[in-house]
Amino acid sequence: MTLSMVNNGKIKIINIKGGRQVRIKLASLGINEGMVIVVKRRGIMGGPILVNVNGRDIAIGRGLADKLIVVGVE
Amino acid sequence: MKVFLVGQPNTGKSTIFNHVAGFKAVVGNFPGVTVEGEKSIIKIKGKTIELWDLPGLYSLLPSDKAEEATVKILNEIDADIIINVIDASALERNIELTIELLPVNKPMIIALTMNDVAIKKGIKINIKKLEKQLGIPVVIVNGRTGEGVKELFELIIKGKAQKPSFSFPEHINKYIKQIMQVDSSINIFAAQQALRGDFSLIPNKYKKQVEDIYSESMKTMRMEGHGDLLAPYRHHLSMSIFESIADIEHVKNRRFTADDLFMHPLWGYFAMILILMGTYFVVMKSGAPVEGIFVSVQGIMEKWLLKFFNINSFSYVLVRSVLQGLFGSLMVVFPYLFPFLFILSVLEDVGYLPRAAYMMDGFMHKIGLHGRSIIPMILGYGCSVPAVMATRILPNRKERILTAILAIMIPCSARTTIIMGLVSYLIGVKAGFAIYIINIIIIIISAKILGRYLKSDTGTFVLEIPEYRMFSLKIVLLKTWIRIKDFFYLVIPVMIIGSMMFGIIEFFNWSTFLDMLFRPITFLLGLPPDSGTLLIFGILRKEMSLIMLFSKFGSANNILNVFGTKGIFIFTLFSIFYIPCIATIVAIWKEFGSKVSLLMILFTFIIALVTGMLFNGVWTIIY
Repeated sequence: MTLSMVNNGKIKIINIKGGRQVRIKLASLGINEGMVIVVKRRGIMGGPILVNVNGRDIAIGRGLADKLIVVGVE
Repeated sequence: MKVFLVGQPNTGKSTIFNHVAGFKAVVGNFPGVTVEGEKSIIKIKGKTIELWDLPGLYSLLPSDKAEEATVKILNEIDADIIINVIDASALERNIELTIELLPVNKPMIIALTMNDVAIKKGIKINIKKLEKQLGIPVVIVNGRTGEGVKELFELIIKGKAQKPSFSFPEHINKYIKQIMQVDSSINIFAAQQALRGDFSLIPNKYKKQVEDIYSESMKTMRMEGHGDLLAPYRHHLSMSIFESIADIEHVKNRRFTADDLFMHPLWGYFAMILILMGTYFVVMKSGAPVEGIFVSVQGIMEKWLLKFFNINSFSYVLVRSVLQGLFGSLMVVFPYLFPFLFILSVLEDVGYLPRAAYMMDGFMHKIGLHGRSIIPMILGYGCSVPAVMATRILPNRKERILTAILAIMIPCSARTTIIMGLVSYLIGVKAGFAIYIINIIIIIISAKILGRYLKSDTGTFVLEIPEYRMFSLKIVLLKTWIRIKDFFYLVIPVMIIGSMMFGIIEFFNWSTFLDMLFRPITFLLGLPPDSGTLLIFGILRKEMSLIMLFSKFGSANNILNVFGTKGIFIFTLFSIFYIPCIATIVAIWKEFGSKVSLLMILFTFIIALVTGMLFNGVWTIIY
């Protein structure tokens, strides 16, 4: 599934389906493949997904969230 | 000695800068406050330091204009020392930038900020170990209190900043060497950037060769499509440094946080509306009585002057216009500008703006923008000039232009005074509020229209949401003062001169001619013929039309008699939209060039005219 489908909880990023720009932008915010992040909330009206990466809250727009392939983690 | 402050966004670079340079840079709690480098000459213990406050950047591969500026400065201007500002509460990510900075090969020193926040989060950093690992001195700095700033600069003066000793692991060094061997003009930093797919520092004639080495390296390392050969190395290094220097204790999460309210899908919007309405009413309610006092003091002084001057004499007209220019400007600053800018500064410092961006992102997409655009737009309520500058945090030009056009249509504090001082004061508080609502509706319509021509990919919205921070009253007051300062030094004299010019024009009856020139417009808007001259002055400074209006008609009641409720309403509406003030035009010109600024002027003028005519027509039909 993609990040935009997640409502909340812990997830692991298994693949970033984006070009160089997208990867670099995410990596600079500390988001890399193989990482476990926490989904905190979802904006309404197609708003962003709020995730917590190493204790930092980062809002990720839906367009970008669609490009992150994730799996749930217990 | 040139010293650069470099660090990730919102780590407190500008705060450190302000502590040593006096309050010069505007700070706030959101990523991207500083969009343009600020520099200041400071003297410490007889030594002169040229301190540069550079826009924050997450990595040396820039993703917007502000970040680009920093990389450019780092590369083109030879710094003597780099102060790397690191946010202790996001250490592992901040260290990635530090690792990127090492090949720049300059003496470095680390300013570790927000250590108190980190401790609260259960992160205990072993400073000694960090110093050892990086080979650079580390100083703990508290941005709020300024603790540690003195020590930091003392170390710099003593020459304690260290050139980092570092080397790339062999599998990377191999390619770095290959690139550097292409030509002696390519330094290690340029080679590092090239291995990350950024060839901007490589001379054109060697680009092809270096690009080949890059693709070769990506193929060998099986990293095609990843873009940055160094990413895994940097990531692992920063994680291992972090793990060896930090003790992490699990802190129990608080059950309820402020974000459960401000970012809630329902209550969050209520809170936002309450904040906006609250701001409006506080400014209005606290401003109106003060304006009333100024109005009556001015009236008394004008009468008193009549003891010395003949009412019809030229000298009286001059003296009176000086008085009116002065009072007109004071009536704007104290009652409305001050409380308004104060509240805006508090919202900025507490960290509400990124939350607003998060909440508005979904909606902003619907009008062809993304959530980040809300930040320049909120700043637009303060002043259009910083709003235009703040568009630099947006990733592409089309989006920047679109956001800038919309942001300049937002009533800035000068136009707020027209709304408050004219509509709210003379017609009523609700009418004033209606202007704001109409303004937002027209901005949405404009976004829809312009979006057809300025369509851009708004797919990549990422924004860090910082922790809430308690604001410091001193900093908020200083920031309000910085923003109001121009008013005293620049605006009051301009207003007085403008008011005198206006007085002269009136005295010799030249305004009849100017009004006639503008008659087609004032006619379409249903405004009295003598409002034409006022609108010309409004281009100089928006509040000028309000001040001129008072000086022309003397009292509020006279204005109401001549203009009528409809006239005041439409005059205000037109004033908000038509042609931005000169300062804004200059800012747009610098940012986007002459073509775009002319288009903006034309567009805002048409919007103003159409809106005004529409209201004139509808109003006439209804009543």
